[in-house]
Amino acid sequence: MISEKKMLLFLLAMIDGSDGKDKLERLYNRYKKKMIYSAYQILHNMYDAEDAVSEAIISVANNIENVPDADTEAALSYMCRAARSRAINILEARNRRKAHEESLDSENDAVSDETDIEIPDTAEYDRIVSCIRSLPDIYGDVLYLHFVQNLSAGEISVQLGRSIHTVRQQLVRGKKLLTAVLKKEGIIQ
Amino acid sequence: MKSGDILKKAFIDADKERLSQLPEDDEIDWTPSRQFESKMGKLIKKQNSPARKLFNTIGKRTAAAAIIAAVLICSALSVSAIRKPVFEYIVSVYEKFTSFIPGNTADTPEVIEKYYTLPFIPDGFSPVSEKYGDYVRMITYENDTAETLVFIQSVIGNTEFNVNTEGAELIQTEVSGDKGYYYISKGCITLIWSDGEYSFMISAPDNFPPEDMINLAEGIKN
Repeated sequence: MISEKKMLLFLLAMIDGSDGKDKLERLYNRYKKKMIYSAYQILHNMYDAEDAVSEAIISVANNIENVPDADTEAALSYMCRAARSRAINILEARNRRKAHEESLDSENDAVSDETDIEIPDTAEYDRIVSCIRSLPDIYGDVLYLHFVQNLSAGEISVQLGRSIHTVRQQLVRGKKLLTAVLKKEGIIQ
Repeated sequence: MKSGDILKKAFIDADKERLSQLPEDDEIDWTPSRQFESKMGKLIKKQNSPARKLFNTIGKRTAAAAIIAAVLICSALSVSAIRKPVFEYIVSVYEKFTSFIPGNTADTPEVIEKYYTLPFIPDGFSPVSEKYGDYVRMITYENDTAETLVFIQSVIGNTEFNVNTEGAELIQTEVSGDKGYYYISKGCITLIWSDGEYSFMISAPDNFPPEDMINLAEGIKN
């Protein structure tokens, strides 16, 4: 009987929405300042940063079941990435015509995002981390979701609020950029 | 270690490094604008549960109500959502379960617009929980011996729900002129009916006379 009651409470919690609401509230209150900071670092305008954070919170709300629990490092990572991503999207929209990604050679955009990056065993690990840190957020976040969470382009597009076409391009360009940086550092040939 | 694993670990560590460099909250000088605070407050209030994803169709939400009912009425129940609406409940009795397919769902409310309650609480019972949702409303009563009486109202939706009626006789009845069904199984008597606007269930200990159950159902009011 107890297990039935537990099951009931679980089902009711899903229906009445209090869990999702509480979770969102906790996430927002816990990370709003760091989200604003992350967005501001990209937009350099507090009002735009607030717009980015509010868009990020909407995306978090729509995806609440996939967001890590508050008070975890994963949640901080998720929330900051959400804010950064929306900030980038705002920046991109604002500067659409002169977006820096346009300056990249688009000839190779058709390259599959399945392109592998072969890291030799002898590579210095810290330098690889450093190369990754040097990537622009626009690619770093996409590649993080690709390599770490193994998300598809479609799943990344939902999480970052970008079109799937854009995500595919950014995966290709991000890998290309990372490859270039790793080569420049002599980590790969 | 494979290249993919190295990169994965490196991306994780790069992310950790980045997070570790974030300033502490008290070092971030930001006073939210009034507009922002207002927007966030509204957004959080409106937040829907995972259920909005999980039960993201009316059918599935109605199925959720059926699941709850099943938990309470001591019956195993399986759900398969989404059937093309026909007209009223189409009831199919199988060996181990009975399938209810809500029929004409045209013009039925998509969310609960008016809440119904029982006309009276049977002797010895008192409410122990009340849950409101857009699609399901449920009131649970208990008596001193921990027997449970449950009243559920839900949107009709276009869901088939299958109730485990193995070994139980499903009896057709009338509730205020609408077709209803009740059965006794595993210590509970359960009445299911629809007024064409909403679906309803009442589940009570099986010592409840069916007539009393039907009287209770006929007296529901909004």
